[in-house]
Amino acid sequence: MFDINIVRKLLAKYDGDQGSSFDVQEIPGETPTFSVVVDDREELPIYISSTDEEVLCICHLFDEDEVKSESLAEMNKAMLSMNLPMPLSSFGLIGSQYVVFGAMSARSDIDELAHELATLSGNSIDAIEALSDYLK
Amino acid sequence: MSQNIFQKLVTLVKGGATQAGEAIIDANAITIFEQEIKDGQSNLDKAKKDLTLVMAKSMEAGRKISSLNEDIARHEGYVEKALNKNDESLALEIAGKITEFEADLQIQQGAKDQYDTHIKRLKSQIKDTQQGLDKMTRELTMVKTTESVQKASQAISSNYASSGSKALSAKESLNRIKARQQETEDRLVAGEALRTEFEGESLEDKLRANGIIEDNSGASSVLDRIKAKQNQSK
Repeated sequence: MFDINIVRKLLAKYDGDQGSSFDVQEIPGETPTFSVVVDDREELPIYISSTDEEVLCICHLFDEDEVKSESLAEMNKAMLSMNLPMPLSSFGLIGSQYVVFGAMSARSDIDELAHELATLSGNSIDAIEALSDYLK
Repeated sequence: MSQNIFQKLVTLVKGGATQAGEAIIDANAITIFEQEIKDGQSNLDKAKKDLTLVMAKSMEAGRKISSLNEDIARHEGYVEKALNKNDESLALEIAGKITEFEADLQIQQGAKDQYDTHIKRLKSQIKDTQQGLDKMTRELTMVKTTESVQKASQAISSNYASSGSKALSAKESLNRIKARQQETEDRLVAGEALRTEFEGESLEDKLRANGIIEDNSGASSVLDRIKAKQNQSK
């Protein structure tokens, strides 16, 4: 199992190839969860949590009520089409929250996690930009 | 067991039960599923026990059959010997014994055939049950994984909802991030411009640029020097 405490320590002082910086905060609760701010993008934090099998990285994009109601169906379709070409990440829906997420094997190493987080953060910005016509 | 895990999820989504904060798969369903697997396992154990019992019976019948065949062969020998001694009535008596053996043989053979059919049926039943159990166990693992992923994403969502992040719309967030990126870039460009302006070009740079100071430390000047030496020695 991915030891999230070790991840936290490693990410906190990680200085990767892409030069991304990671600000890791622990979120208290029953399930071990962390929020990570990549490159000062504090508006779009990434949340990490893990199960026995995988490490889940989630970035919240927007709530359904931010979407123009007449565009909802079209946007959902666009997101499904964007899922495949989007590197490493996929779109998801948690309740009414649209998210972009990446799931990695719990046996991934710290470089892979750093790469995942940097990519996910970039994807979240690209996604909002690409979908902004559908948003109010 | 009739629906797989994804069908169950889709059914629940259609029913609108997947609001954040609600479990996708209720603990009760998992308990029932676990009980089904347990029952299946105990059925399997029972079938295996039955199988060994029936196999033992079949082996027993097999032993009886071969011993009866031996008896028949031996008595047929006796009949031949009695006939050789022209003792027809003794031969007939022995033949009567042989028919008893043969009747018993038929019964034993019938029983063995039945046991063998039963064995075949039990074996295929065990195989099917084992496969079904394997499938259910895999499904349960998936359900449990889904559940823990659900819990993880809920932990994230509830924190997200209670944090300040939600106050901004996605567009506002994007604009802020882009503005900050632009600002950082502007600052870098401005810093570079200031640096050259303040430091300026050094006098030496200017003299060198005008050819007042000749650059005689470069590789080409070294090469020229060596070439000149070569020409002198010729």
